[in-house]
Amino acid sequence: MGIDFFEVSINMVKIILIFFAMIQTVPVLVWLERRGSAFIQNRLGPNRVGPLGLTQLLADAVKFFFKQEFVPGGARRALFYSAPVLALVPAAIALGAIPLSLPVYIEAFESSGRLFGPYRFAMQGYEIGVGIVFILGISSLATYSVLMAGWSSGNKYSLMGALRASAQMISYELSLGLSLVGCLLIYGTFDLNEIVSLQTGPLLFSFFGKVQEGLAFLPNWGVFYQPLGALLFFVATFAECHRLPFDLPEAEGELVAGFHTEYSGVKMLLFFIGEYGHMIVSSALLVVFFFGGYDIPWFSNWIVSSCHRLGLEFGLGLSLVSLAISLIFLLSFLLKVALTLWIFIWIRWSLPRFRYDQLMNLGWKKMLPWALFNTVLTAIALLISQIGKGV
Amino acid sequence: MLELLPILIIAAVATLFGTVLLFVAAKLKDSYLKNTIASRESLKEQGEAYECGLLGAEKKSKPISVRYYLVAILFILFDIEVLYMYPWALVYKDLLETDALFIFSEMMIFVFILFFGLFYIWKSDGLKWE
Repeated sequence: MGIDFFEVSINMVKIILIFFAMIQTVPVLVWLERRGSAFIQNRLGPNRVGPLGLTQLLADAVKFFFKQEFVPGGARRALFYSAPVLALVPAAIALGAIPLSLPVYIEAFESSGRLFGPYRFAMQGYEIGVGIVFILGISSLATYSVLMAGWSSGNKYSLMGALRASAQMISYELSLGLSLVGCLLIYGTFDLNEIVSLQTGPLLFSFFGKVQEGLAFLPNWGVFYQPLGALLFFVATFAECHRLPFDLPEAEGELVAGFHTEYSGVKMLLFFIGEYGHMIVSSALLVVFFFGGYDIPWFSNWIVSSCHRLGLEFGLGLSLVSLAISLIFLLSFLLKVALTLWIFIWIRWSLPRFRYDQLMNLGWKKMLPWALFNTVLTAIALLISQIGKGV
Repeated sequence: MLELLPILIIAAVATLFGTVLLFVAAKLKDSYLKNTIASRESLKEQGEAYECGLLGAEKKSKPISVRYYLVAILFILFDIEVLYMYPWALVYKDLLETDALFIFSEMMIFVFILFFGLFYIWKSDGLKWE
């Protein structure tokens, strides 16, 4: 956490800020989803409350508090209430492990007669060496809140929805995990920060040990090494977040609303936050692994050096310069994540829903073999390039 | 151990946030929202499990048989095998320089067995959903 009061308090504030940033993104996403879907379907969407309907979010929050609070008769109260709270936790923890930007360096300074040493603040909730393994493990805990909600409601629709949801989530978790193995083969590390830093600069695609110069105009992103892995990962995240076309757990034609049939008001709101939080985490992971994380293509070095030059010219301290650099890279990361989130919404309103057996077949009979194939292919390609290097 | 403390803090903050929100909603109902729909007494029908517009025929949710446990067992088998590939992926590049054929062929045998297992389950109708 830190060695002295200053570092500990900054780290605490950082953690809490990241959590509330996630919470605050959810209403914006809901607005974007409603507005975007309306335009896709040639409607107007919410446009009455405030400019462009933006304050609709506040109105919604008030509405959630005005809803009647009740528990269905057959429900197990303790589990019924703890399920929505638990839905928040995995997304929040997973988001904390994702690097948002370059670290901020604070120079040593003196305050009230004490010297505070130089600090380095990573732009993420906490740094963890096993990064991706930890994130995958934590986000799979979301299954528990779904099962708890479904079982404790005492309703057959909820239970069926929860069973479907958990079967779907664990089925696609295999492809989710396997699609990243190809990436890990190339990067050779679990640390997300290192993975991002390996993706800077121009594309260094080597074929038989020879670097292809003609491709150097592209950024060195994972998606160019692992197109199949990126596609599989993207599809699997849809199933993990149970978004359309994989929203079988909430197929309203068959199951009313799936595992949250009996939930209303604030409890429903918490499920919403958890679900959109999962979407944010998945998009961030996709960006980190396949789209260079917070890297700005072509301009990374130029931005860093020109920030340092400007800092020298205007006599700003090193701390301020590194803060400015960090914020610029944070903006790039947020832009990429926002684009990915928009694709999530776009696909939701473009594709119809799968049938349940089609969904399971896709997961087990198509994506799992393809992910295995991708792993083997990557291993062979690396072996060949190694042999090429030896010759 | 100390570097894992932030994880605990995030979990605590998230839990606290959810609990406080639920608590505030319950409190508001008793005070400021006294005469609104939020504090209305539950009707008898609301105590029942949800059913489309009519009273449910069954009082308690019956246990339903699903083929879910099979998926769960298969998942555990395959997930452990996938996890086994992670450390291999981590050291693959380093070992390529010293012992390329060993590290490659070892995993290929493993993947082959994995593939064979999947194929076997597939053919014995373990992956069939109606």
